[in-house]
Amino acid sequence: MNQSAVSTSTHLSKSKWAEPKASKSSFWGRLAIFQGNSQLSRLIFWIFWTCVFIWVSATGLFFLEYPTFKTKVAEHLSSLKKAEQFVNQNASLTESKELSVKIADDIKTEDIDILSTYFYTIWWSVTTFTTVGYGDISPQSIYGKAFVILVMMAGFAWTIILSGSVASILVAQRLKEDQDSFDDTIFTDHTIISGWNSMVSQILSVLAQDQENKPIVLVNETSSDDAGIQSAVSAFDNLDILHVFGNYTHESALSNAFIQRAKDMIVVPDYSNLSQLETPDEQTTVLAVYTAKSMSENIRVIAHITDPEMANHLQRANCDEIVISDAFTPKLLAYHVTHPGSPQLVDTIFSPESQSDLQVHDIPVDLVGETHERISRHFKFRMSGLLIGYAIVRPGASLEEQMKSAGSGFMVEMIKEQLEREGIELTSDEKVFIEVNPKDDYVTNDKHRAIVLI
Amino acid sequence: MSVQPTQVQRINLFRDLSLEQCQHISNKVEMKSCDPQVDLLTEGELGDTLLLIFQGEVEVSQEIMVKTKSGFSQSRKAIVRLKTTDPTPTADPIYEPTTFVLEEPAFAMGEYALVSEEAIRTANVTAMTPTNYGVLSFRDFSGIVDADPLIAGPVFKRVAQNAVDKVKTGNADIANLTQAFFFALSRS
Repeated sequence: MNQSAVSTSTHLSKSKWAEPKASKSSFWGRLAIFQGNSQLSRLIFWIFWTCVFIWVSATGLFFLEYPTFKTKVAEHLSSLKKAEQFVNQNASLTESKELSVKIADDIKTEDIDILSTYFYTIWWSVTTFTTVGYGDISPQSIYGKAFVILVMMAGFAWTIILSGSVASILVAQRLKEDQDSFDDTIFTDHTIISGWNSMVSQILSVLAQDQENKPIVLVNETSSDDAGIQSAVSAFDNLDILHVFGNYTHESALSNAFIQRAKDMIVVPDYSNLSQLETPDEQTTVLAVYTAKSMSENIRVIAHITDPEMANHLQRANCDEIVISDAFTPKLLAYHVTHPGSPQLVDTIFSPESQSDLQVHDIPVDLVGETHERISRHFKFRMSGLLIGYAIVRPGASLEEQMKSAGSGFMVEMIKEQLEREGIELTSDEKVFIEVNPKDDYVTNDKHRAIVLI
Repeated sequence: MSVQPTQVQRINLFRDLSLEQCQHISNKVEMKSCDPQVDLLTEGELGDTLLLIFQGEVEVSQEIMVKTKSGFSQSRKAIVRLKTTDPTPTADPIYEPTTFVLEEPAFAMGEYALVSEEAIRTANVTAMTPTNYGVLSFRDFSGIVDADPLIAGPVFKRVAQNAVDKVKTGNADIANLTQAFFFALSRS
């Protein structure tokens, strides 16, 4: 399974390529629109203005230094001609004993046409603009030199801007390719972990052991460059982990985490950008649950809090499961005195290094409806596990079922229609109930799942 | 246009009456006809007449405040369609029903007008097809009952049964609405 670690920012930045204000019909309007927002149009825009710059500087110098350039062209062509003749004559010496060297006449300046001269000014402009500067042609007059000073300074600045723009275009193109290749369809029935603290890595470690290996999205305001985030994202080869930078109480951040398709969301106390002395604001946890539940009716939200007072608020927010820090600590401490050994059992079971594990298994189809004693023997025999209880999923209350046997059909239909229009489902959330250590004759049904100590 | 006693006897309220008794009633019924989309009864108005539908299809509706995309608005909500079977309507309804259709040989509407001269109409009744119907006023029925007191018993018994059924349904609707109200509060 591929591992992806694409960070997306929820901050929307305005593109510097703002909508052109000029009308489309004018030259400048057409030019501004041509500037556009696509990478290709921006590149073409820069190439166009570079060509204009080269042409303007060449044309300006052509008029200012025409005699100089014309003479230079004549000299250049003359030397070429002499060289060609020399080569030809040397070749013919092998055939004839007569040594007669005929020196070619110089090409006269007045024989040079305007186009050839103009081409050399273009040549000069390009070598100057690209900072190559062969030096084969240079202005002689003061006006020419002054013009060239301006051209060289402007060209130098233009080259820097052009290089930067081309680089940004290429980087943007690369980022776009990365985004295009990013497959967000894998984030379905995934788990969102909102908030960031030192426990998230351990949570990921446990989730990584799950055979289903569902994708995970981390939502927090810790930078993607943070070592902890990088480590968490890259530590698990079998997990697809996406980091979304943003405030997890905001709908935009949760949307970027594909919350509408998520199955579970774990909200942890967020230590992002907090100093060691600061403690996280757990009202944020409550707000996150409210936001998540409002965005996705079906998502199951598990919240971790350190302040038990927040539990009531989370219940009002319809939080599915609430984990309170140190909820069991008093009992564990006391049990060390009164029931020594039992706290150690709890520690052994839930320790990350422990070989033992508390697992939930489906009851085999042929055993559904059997007694607890029968099912216990099955798990003991099959996986050497101790069946200690059952997780029973009870469907939520259905308003529709409550209403159907009474009242006028018109009223029932109108109630359903109005509630559904408001996005209120007529069935409340499923709840999980636990039956611990039932009697041997306890009978199960298809809603039961076995909790087995392995 | 006059109505036959046999037609009157098909009406649910008068089913327990003899043909002779129905004749007394038919003599007092004023026959009318209307086109589709005509309101035969209007919710909230005072009524002192009983409507007898002999041929056609009508829709019973109530004004309810509902929430739409643009906000809350008063809307006419169809409750039930009533359609005669003997004879059947002469044409198809102007639009298909959005609620269930009750079929009867003939039926009466606004029966509370037989009990009180100032009964308030609790719903709208609108013709969906060309409809032939009769109108029997409270005064005329009172005169019939005065002339033949034996008519009153069976008729008022039916009226009372209808009223009790409606009270039961109304109570159940209140219970459903209350459940839905608290359900919605818990989900919001």
